[in-house]
Amino acid sequence: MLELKDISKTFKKKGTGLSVQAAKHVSLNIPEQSIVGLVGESGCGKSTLSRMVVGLEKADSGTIALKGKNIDYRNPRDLSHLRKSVQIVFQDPNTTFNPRRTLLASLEEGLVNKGMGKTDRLKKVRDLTDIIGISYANLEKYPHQFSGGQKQRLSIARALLMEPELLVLDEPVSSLDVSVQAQIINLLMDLRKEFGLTYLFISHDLHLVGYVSTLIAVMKSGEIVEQGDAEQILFEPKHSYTKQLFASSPIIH
Amino acid sequence: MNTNNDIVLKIENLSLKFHTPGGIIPAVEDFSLSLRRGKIHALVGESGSGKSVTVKSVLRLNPETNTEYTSGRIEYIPSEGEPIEILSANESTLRSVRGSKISMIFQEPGRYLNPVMRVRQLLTETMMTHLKVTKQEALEKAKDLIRLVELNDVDRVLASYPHELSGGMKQRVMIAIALSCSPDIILADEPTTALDVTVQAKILALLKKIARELNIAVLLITHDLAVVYESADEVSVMYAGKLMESSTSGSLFKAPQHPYTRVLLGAVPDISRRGQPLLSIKGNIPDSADRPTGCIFSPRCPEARDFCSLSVPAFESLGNNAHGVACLRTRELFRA
Amino acid sequence: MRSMDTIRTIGRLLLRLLATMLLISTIVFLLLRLLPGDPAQVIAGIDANPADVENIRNSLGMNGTIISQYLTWMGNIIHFDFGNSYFSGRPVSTLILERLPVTANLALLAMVFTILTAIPIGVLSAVKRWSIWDAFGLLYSQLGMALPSFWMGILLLLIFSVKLGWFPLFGAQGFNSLILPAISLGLAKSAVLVRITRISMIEELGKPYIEAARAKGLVDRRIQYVHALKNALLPVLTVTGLQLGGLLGGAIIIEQIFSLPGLGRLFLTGIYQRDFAVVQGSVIFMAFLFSGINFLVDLLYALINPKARIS
Repeated sequence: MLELKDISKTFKKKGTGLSVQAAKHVSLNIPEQSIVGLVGESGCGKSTLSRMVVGLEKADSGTIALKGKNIDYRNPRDLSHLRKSVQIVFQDPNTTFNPRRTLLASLEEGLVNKGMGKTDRLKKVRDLTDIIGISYANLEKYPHQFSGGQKQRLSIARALLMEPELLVLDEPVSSLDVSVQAQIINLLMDLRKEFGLTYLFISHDLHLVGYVSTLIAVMKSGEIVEQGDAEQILFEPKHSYTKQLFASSPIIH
Repeated sequence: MNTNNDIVLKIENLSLKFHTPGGIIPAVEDFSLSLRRGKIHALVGESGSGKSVTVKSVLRLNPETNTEYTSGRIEYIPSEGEPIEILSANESTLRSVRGSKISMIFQEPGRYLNPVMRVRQLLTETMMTHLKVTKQEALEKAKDLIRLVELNDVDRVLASYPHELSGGMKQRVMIAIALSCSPDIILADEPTTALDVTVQAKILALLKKIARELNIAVLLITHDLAVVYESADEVSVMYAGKLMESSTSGSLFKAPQHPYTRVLLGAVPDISRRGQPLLSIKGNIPDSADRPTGCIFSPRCPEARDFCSLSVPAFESLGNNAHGVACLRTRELFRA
Repeated sequence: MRSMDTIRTIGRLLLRLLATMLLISTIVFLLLRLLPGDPAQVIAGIDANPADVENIRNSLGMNGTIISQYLTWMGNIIHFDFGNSYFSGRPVSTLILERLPVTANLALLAMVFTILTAIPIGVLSAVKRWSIWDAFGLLYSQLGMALPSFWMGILLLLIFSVKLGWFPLFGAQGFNSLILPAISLGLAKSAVLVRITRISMIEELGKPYIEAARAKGLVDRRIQYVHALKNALLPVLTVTGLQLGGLLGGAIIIEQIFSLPGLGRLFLTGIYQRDFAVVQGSVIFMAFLFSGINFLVDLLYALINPKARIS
């Protein structure tokens, strides 16, 4: 589906002359219909990587290929192709919607840009909100009238309206309560079956990543230190950092 | 076995309300809890559970202008001298307890340390407020405290401003400040939530060591059951301002009794159950303005019956004193 | 480590100061030369003889190529030489130095008045929010901002000099003669600063570290005046710095009302008399003074706020 090859990216820290390598020769393969879990601690570069995957950030070197075709970031057609096929859901659902617009207006927006007619748009929104479990009638409300979990459902709906093949989930449940987290995780698993989606699931929580993923990549200071089949990483981790993460992550036996 | 002599703090039937422009909000209702010396007691809950409000009540840190303590007592029992009832204590008594007998650490250490003061000053001012020490003595003690929280390079840390330290170091500094007057109790409000897991593990280990070695009671506020499992001796589970279940950590994780505790545990991802759906709770945490009648959890409870929305369950202990539950169906749902 | 940061910060600020001063000098140099008309002709009058005009042009440093004029100009500025006044024939730099103490004392006194009134009133307003103290603070700042300083000056003169006779009516007769001008000059600044102090203090008092300080058992006074105030003063200091510059401008008007022989009067007289050297000299000098003050304020800011030191 998507292949990152030898990606590097360096950020300069303003005023200090120091630079941070957010990605060092990262190669990552996301096969069709897989769930690739990307796990690492804050500042390891996992969010930068996700932003590069959706075309919000440009790599300094290396290539990103979508279905075998290299994406040229300077080519607007390539970029719009990437943005059509790949959508992202962010961590904080409270900041992803314009507070002054109704949810319906926010959800419709992407479809308007696609040039879809009013009747088709509303039908599509209605179909999808049924699936994600929000009543269509409620879409006339504004973001602050929804709970965090409902807003996260709606941001997933907004991403799915664009009919992506790959969905990047950047810490999708980190800001939610435990009881709501489970709802969202279960919903994501159902949606994948229903639409045949591929996920890049990014989280700092090794157990959560382990629970949902088919493949896992462990990232530390801009490098992927270990990647492979989920079962293998979970039950026979090789790299010392993966082991350290396991030892540090609290768990109920 | 625990004796009553170990008890250093008793919260009894605490209820409090917030007065807001939108109306009166009941934040905590009929809540009780005891802390023992040398033990970590975890207070678990989701957002809106009232766990932070409860812990702040212990030092009466909730804004005085709009907080109304409607009932209950909070009693601090020092090893020597008379017990102090916090809710009725006068300002000077309260100040002599704050930071000295009962101290507090917070979720985001970066925002809770004054940005324009050096660590040295932040540490010594507490000691100079509460202990009869000279500046020189306080400074010497500050060095010991920095070592106690396992930070190297003592002089550099003392001369630093908070922003010059990492998140984990800041939390250690916060703990050092909390320890500076040899308290009986440390209140820890989500102390590791803002930290990376590798740092979290070290801070939790430090808190455990402090509780054991210095015989301090720690009240650990958290939303993370795995953190509770790994560090707490006793647990209280709160939901929407009410106590649902309370027990020793061992008993609670082995045989959780309240349906809420059970679903909460089932919602934690466990890699040995990959591929199965997580146990999820329908609906959302109740709005403070629109609270359900009867058992507060009944609208979301998988085990609820009609009568659950009619009467409020009392908090009752199960056979042995250590384990208590507030559920109308406790006996039917009992699991050993 | 720390001292290196401080040195780097001072270096960076100094560099900015020098660059600003260079820019100011160049702009003033260009202004006179880009304006239509010949200043020398203007000074000499329309029917002066060409030799006189040439003389004046020489004294203004406006002969030769533009490059050589510029170099001479910059060289003179470095030596604090702004040429001679056309009317009195005395060096402009001497005139400035003669007048400077009056303006400097006036501005300084106004600043002291501003700080001594604004910070206590603002802090009291914030600490005792929604009380009678706060109401007074807000009324003070409302009035101070609404009343123009020249009107204030005339009012003060009428009451305290004419009616009560406590202060001299005009002229520079020592400290006493500066008090009324300083108050009328400082009042508007003080009114603004009360607002800034109040808001800044209220914001700081709501921050998490204040809650932590309360949890430490510190007394309210220490929490308010050590913990909160130190942070609240950062924006106050920035605004004060900018105001100090503004006081120099305000002094021009106030010096007129109170007949004080300061820089402002020198400048105004220069304009009336078309004394270019004097006008140029005062403008450059005041601009330098303004940049110098800002430099000092930034430096002070960096010393108080540890975070500002590197960035």
